[in-house]
Amino acid sequence: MIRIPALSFHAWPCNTRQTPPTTPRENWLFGWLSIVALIIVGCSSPTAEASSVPLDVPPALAASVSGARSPATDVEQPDDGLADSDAHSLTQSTPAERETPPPASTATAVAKATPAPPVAPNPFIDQISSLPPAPQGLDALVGDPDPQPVRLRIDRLDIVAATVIDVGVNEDETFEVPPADKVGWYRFGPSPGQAGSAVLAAHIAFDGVDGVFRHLEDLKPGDRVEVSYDDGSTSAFLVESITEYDKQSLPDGLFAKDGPAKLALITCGGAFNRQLRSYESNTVAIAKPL
Amino acid sequence: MRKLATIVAAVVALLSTAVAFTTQPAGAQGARIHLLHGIPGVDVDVEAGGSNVFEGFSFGDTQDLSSLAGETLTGLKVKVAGTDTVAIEAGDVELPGSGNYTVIAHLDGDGTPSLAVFENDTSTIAAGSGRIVVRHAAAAPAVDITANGDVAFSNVLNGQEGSADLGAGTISAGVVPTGETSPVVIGPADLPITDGSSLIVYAVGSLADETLTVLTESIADLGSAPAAVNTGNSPVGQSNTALVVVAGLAAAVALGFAPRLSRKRS
Repeated sequence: MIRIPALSFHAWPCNTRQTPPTTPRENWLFGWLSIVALIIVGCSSPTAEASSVPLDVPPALAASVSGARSPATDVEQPDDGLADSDAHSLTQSTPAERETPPPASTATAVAKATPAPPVAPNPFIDQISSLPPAPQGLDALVGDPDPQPVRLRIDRLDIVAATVIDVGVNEDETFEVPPADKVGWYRFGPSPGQAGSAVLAAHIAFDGVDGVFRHLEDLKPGDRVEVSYDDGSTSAFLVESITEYDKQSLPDGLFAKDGPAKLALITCGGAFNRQLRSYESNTVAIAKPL
Repeated sequence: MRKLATIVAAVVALLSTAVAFTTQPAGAQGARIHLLHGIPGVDVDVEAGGSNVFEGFSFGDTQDLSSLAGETLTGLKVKVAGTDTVAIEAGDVELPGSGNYTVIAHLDGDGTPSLAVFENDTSTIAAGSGRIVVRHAAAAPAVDITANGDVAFSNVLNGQEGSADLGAGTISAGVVPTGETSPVVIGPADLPITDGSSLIVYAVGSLADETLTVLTESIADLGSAPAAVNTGNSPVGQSNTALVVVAGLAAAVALGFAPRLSRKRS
């Protein structure tokens, strides 16, 4: 079932762009990062194994760190650069210190002289939110499947115990409708009763033989639909609506993988196009868990 | 002001994804930008705008920066957790206004902590298929990525990825050094190919330090509904209608002629 041959390898566009000539600024960054990397390694790996992590900083880069910093900063960050901000705070602190009363002043004076500087609210902190951590390892990725539907009962339509099989899509991405005497559960969507829209589809007629959903349009709101699962359990649904849609205009939510649990029963309806040997519409019954 | 792309280029010399950022038009389209911690064993604090925006960021942790799409993070620094030791001095970082990105702090091929930006493919996936993306973000040499025992992607370097859309189901995937079968870097392990979802697998850690492992990320709702539900190829009641007609005629004959016949007999 799994097709590998279509695999394609997308090399990153990095292959088309090689390292540009490094500017002093970039050297500065690289150098600092290298140093900082050493610090991280030093802090995080106190054991002797830490030395196995590459520690060698290219001498040229290391040299450029100290040599390139000032000019690079001056050239590339004339206004709002970090270095300039630091410079501002330094110069601003000087007059503040001058205004500080002499040590002999009273306690109240001291308190008055050293008010906490107004802390500007961080403009970003409220816009960043934590997400659940990324799963680690590959063991837990393939979970246990939900119980799958195996039988369908709809008294109104004299469907006593129709066989339900799991189906997917055909080569042309159309729904893989099972033989006329069976009902197909779309296995890429939820199982009936789980979150989202579970789909059961069956023929109305195939090669002159009535399908299981031959009379689906006769369902009435409130009719009971029962689904039995492969774990022996059964759940009941009540029909809410029966709608005929143009085949090309099925509602978006019909195959929803999340949202409120509902059960969609689908067959064909409307006019039969003898030339295409196809119906122009789909009859869709929506049922909700009882 | 430098864009994140520039930083990546300068700091990591990993220029690949720079294109994505520089060509991404800033707009009000919204973006999905996640920041993923992919360096085992190092906790960090992240500072921007003059103070820490989050602290104790640990391996595997994820932060959502999407609300900041199109804005500029000023004075971005990554610091060793609980200290003022700056690990990455990133400066002002302009985030893209649209698109889907994962920024991962990881080890480059030489084991140096780095930032890498991956643009995530959110193109529509055909009904019944899922997407698998494997990204090399570990301090390890070039690798081959195997699928169901065969080499699917060969010679994948740190910072590169392999990607494919496959029929939904399960594949057995593994990572080994290029051209070798051992040592096994990862797996082989069963990976779910989920209809309409992209499963992104990051190989992270260090081969030399024996800290290789994987982190995963999923992007859902990329799928398609079946193109059509063709639940009939013959008109309903074709045979039944004929039967009804026959039965009706028979009834008519019976009702119409039988009495006459009986009358004649009588």
